[in-house]
Amino acid sequence: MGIFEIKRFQEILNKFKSFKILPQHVAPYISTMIPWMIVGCIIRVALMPLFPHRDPLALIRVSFILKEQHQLIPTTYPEPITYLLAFLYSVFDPFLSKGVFNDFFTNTAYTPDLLSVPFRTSEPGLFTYLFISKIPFLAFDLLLGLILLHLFKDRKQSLWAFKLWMINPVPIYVSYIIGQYDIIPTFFIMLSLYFLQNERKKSAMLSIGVAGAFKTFAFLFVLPITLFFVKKFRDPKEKVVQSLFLIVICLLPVVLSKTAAYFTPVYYLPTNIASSHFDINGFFGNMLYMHDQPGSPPLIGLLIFGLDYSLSFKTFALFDDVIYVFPLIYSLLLLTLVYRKNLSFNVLWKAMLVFLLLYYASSLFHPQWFIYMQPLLILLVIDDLKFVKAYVALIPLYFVYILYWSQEVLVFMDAIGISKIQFINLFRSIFSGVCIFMAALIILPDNIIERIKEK
Amino acid sequence: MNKLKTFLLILLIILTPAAYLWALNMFFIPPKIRLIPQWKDDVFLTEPQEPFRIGSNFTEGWSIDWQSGQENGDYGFTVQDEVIDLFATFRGYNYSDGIGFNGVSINKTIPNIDRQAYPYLRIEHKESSSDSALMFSFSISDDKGQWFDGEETHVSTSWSVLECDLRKLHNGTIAQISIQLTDEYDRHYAGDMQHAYIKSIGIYKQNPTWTLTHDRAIEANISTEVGTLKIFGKGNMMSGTIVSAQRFSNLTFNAFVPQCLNVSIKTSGIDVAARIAVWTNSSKPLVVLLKTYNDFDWHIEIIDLLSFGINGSTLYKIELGWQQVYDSTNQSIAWYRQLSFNQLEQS
Repeated sequence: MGIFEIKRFQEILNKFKSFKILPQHVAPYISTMIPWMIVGCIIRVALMPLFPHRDPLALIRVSFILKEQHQLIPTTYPEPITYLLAFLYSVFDPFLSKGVFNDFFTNTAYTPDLLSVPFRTSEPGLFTYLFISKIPFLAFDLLLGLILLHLFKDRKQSLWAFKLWMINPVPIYVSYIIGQYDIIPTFFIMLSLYFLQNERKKSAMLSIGVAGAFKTFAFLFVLPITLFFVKKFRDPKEKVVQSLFLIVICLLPVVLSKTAAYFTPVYYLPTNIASSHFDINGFFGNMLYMHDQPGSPPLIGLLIFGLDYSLSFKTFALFDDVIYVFPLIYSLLLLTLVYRKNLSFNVLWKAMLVFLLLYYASSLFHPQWFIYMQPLLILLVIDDLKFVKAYVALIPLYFVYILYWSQEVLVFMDAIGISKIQFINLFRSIFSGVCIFMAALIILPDNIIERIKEK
Repeated sequence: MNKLKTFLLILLIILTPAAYLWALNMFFIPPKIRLIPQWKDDVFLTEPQEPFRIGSNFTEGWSIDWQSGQENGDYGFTVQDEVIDLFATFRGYNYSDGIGFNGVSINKTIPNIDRQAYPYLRIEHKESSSDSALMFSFSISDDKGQWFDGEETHVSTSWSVLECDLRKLHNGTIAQISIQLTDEYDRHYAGDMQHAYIKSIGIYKQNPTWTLTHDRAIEANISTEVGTLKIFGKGNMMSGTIVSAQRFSNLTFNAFVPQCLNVSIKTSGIDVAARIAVWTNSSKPLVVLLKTYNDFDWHIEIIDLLSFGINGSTLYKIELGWQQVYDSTNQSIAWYRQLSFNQLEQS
């Protein structure tokens, strides 16, 4: 090892030593944070072992099979989350009851898969599975709170952001009630922004890459972040080289996880083609699962989520000329960033937030996907208090929107002659209106907003 | 002091959730879900039981009953290798007899048997052609000479079984049985000499509950080995070929609506998909399972019938079988055992 390498190693070591979990401007006020943290933790820990939702149960089963058989089920779940949970189950193996997945040992299949839920939930030991599976969610959730502390330079703003995060009902609902792991990619997106704020481009790209490896959605932010870093280069050639370099860095995690998956034997999980469309995996479709290959490629699933879920317009042409709003607003995001002369940290995260607000306003999104916007919304509300009212309206509207997935709650409405789906649609429309309003408020210059106020 | 505080804090962080989990596991025991079988078939009867054979070698007792539109040498029957060959000649509309149709009938006197105990008639037969004009049928008569027409069917060049519950035809004594080969589906039929071959005629205590059905011309059969139903097929099997064992009888569940169908399945390979179809009426099947397995191992399938919209206490028919996934000339087999219709119970 040369002198240069030793110096570099020492530099890295010093960086780690100098890194403080709490930013300096907040550290003296830790005592004001602790009660919020305790309350937040109590709520989270209390909910962790409860609510056996169908999706996490499927994920737990896939991870359980990976742990027991060292075989991977090529499902919609990206490999990193499966490996992470399988590792956790290996660590906590003595505490885990095998009965919850006795179908694995008895070769039993439930059609539709939904039928497995009452059988699994009637097995003792399910609480422990749910608790252990959600430990990483809790860890990343708390770490995300710490990142929010770092993103503000003002003490008050940092502390308010942290407090708001700890009691924010959306991540609590998404992570601990419906048990979705989207908190992990959300954490890495925010970590990427933290690195971006500190001009650490490789770390930022690696973080967004890890987020993308967990949820493909995060890859949408690769180009905006890349643009942020290459803007400063004047030479077009250098811009291209740097862009490619950064994109390669961000692809490393997904390449690594796909390589690991490639070398992991496949567990044969056949699909019952006779099941209804709603009971079959959205990615694999209504096709027989044969010869260790899914019936249809996962890309079809991505297109369903990206395009079919999006609001679209059809022209009166001779053929199907359809304009999808989702790619349209993404193009607007990219072009805005390309045409803007200077890109600051504030401009970037606000652009990302505007894109997300317009996306939620114009597309059907699964309840867990709403978590991506939550830390950015907190940044917005703390940064500019004029957004508080809209934010306070948005959160309850979201909780009406998610009734699309549990319409049975509103069954009493049918009895009084009101259509429950129309009821949800009504609130969903208001939700979209609030999202568009917030996006407009972010985009419009302050002087115009002032003029509107005066009028 | 600080280190002790930190240690106690870490202990609290670990112990509190552990105690919470312990309490949940101890005091909140979820109700157990079980399948309660209300109807089951673990016998899978594919062969008739305890036969009383009428024609085992056909050497005695059979005679020509009547003929229509035939000339000497045109009709008759012979017996070879314990198979009766009944033949007649068809030259178009029979103007001479004024009754129009052509054909021949043979009959035999039946000794008195307890028909409440032996109610099922089965005739294994095939013909020299599949011409749609030709009809294969049977009749029975009582001791007073009154005849009752039984089942009739189109002829076929492959062996098939004509089945009948005789109690539905006539409830008294049966004195004779007759077998007919006629052109009653088209009296203008001119196919010249045609043959009907009969392998066996028997009256049985119990008919098979499961019978074979397939949608393509392949070699197929069903059999039962120690409570396991085996559905076999080979030949030129195109993708999509369906072979099944079907059951019509005793599918009324006495007012209980079955929620779950439970059955164990094994297939010969992943080029064949196990297929289960439920018919709630005679018009259309509801396929509730179509699935491939790659391990030549038994798989327990629990199927929620309600999710397929099946919510009656009576079924018209159930089919257990397989569907060819890829073209093949190898044999394809599916095995089924322990079929049951169940209710879900929480306890």
